[in-house]
Amino acid sequence: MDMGLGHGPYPFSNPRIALMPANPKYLSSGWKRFSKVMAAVLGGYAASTTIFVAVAVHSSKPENALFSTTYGSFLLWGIFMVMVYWVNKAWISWSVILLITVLSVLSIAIAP
Amino acid sequence: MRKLKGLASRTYHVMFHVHTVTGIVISFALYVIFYAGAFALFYNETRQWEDPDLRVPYTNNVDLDLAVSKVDKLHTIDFGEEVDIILPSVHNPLLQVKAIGESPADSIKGETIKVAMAPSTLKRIDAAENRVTVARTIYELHFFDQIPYAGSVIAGFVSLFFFLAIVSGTLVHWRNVLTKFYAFVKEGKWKLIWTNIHTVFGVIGLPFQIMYAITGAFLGLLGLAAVPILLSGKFEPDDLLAKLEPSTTIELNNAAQPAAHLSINELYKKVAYHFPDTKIQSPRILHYGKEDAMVIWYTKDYKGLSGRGEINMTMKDGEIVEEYSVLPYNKSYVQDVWNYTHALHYGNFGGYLIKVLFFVLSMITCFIIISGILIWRTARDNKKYTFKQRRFHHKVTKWYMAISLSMFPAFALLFIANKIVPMDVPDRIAMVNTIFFLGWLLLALYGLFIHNYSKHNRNYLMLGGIFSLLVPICNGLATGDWFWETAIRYPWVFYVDVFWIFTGIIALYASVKVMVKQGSDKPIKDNPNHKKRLQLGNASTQGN
Repeated sequence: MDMGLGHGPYPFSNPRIALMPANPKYLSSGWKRFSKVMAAVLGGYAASTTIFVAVAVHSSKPENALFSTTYGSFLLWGIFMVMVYWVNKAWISWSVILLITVLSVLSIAIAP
Repeated sequence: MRKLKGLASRTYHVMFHVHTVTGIVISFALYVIFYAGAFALFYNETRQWEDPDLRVPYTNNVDLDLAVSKVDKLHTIDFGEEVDIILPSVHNPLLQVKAIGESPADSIKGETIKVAMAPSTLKRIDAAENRVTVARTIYELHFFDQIPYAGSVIAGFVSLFFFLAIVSGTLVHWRNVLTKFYAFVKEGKWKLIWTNIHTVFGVIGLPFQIMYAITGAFLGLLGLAAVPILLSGKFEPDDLLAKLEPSTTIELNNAAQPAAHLSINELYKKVAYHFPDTKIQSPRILHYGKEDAMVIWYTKDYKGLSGRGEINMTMKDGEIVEEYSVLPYNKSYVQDVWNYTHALHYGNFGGYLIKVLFFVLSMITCFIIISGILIWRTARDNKKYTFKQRRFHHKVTKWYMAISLSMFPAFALLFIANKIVPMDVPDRIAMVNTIFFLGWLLLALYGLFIHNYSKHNRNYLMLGGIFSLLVPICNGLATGDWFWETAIRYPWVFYVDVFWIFTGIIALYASVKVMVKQGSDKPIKDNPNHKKRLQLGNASTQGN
């Protein structure tokens, strides 16, 4: 099968390997790309850290939630980054991230 | 075996691209982190090898009270401040006392003094701690600490993006995770070989790599994660610290009267009786000789993830004060999280089996990174790319091979430099570091003149092998402790020497056996030649 790469001495018998490198037609560019990078790095950071503080301020043992950031926030950050690229539309990812961040900040603000 | 459901076409391509871009961006740094980190696991174990002053017989039968009074006589210790004692260990058999006192030379009060003593005689030893740097250079390189302030943050971000690369890579490979679990292919086309190495080892090392990506991000970016906590203004940092280290809340009475109390030696026996399976490492003494005197015993057992302890005792009657203590295997959630992450990252559990395993897995991870670069390059070595693009791909790969593979001979060179620079040279640390970093630079520059990746591999293996074999020779010549003599007296000096001998022999053997492709990997402009070269390359690999 010709995946557009199959020439020369490489017989691309494995279709998955032939799908390498990624086909640019699926990749975003320009502002969308920039927006996705921002959502992944900055948005992911804001959402993954504030959510722990939001839980902590309403908890009787806030230190437990706060010290869970040591591993939890980085796990979440990574998951947010994957989400941003998994979901095609950037505004959906932005909405999820901003919703979590805004709700977290509100929850921190109303805490006693 | 059943194939798992793969990603949809768009997601597959996007995840592939995320994996490629993050992978290429972090690859150089990640390689350095894992390579240096593998050696940094053995920080303490290298100390006696690098520092001949630490080669004194080990004993844990030390008169601690006598040691403190000896230091007091020399420096008039201010007992209102903390006095730290570092007990002799197999890796550093010296007894060290750290306190605030006055130096006899200029009799200025309030100086930090550090006295090292031979454990059996309590004779003062002018330890060369400030003149020796092998373990420290490697440890600092592990998180780029040579770059002031930014180094550890960069390392933290590399770790975070490493996590992204792991997740996206696993998603891309998902369909074949089961079917290709044992796909150790060593025949066929290079692209397939590199891909199989990359994915098979990637799956084997997955738990290890996720653990290091997360704990590494934590150690590098904790400051960043703490920003919202501090900004919220709802929490006092001191309160949080107290949950982690209850000893920070101890309030000593400045007006405390001098009083008789139990000796440190008696208290040592008590703590050793209560915690028999742990290593007591460094007692901290507060208000020595006063009525509210206390001692905190810092302990580690190197077995469980929660094995670290801080045992607080009153010196008056030797009671354990649980309020101020962190007890092994009896910690709060906060203390457990903190200790688990550190123990996991430093490999401080499960004994040497874990350290050796982590060393091997780190090397495998380096191998995954290299094969990743080679996939990236091989997949782009075709007509779809312009000559200029292909030349760029080749250049990146060449730089990558030169910088990363030259780390092996450069590390051996660091060990050599520590022995060939005499101990009494002023500014010795700077000199050793210069030899290492300049040596690494020159070794890497040499690689830029090679246009054949298998030649990079062979030449650096050969150089590294030769340098490795020189390490024990330099140690023998410089310190007189040849490896056939140290096996019983200083086993850890022996182990380091033997490690380099084995590494050297294996590297030299491998460099002779390595498959060296004919021709050059440099892209050639017109396609017929390019094709011919590829065919030539394949023919030679199939011949092996």
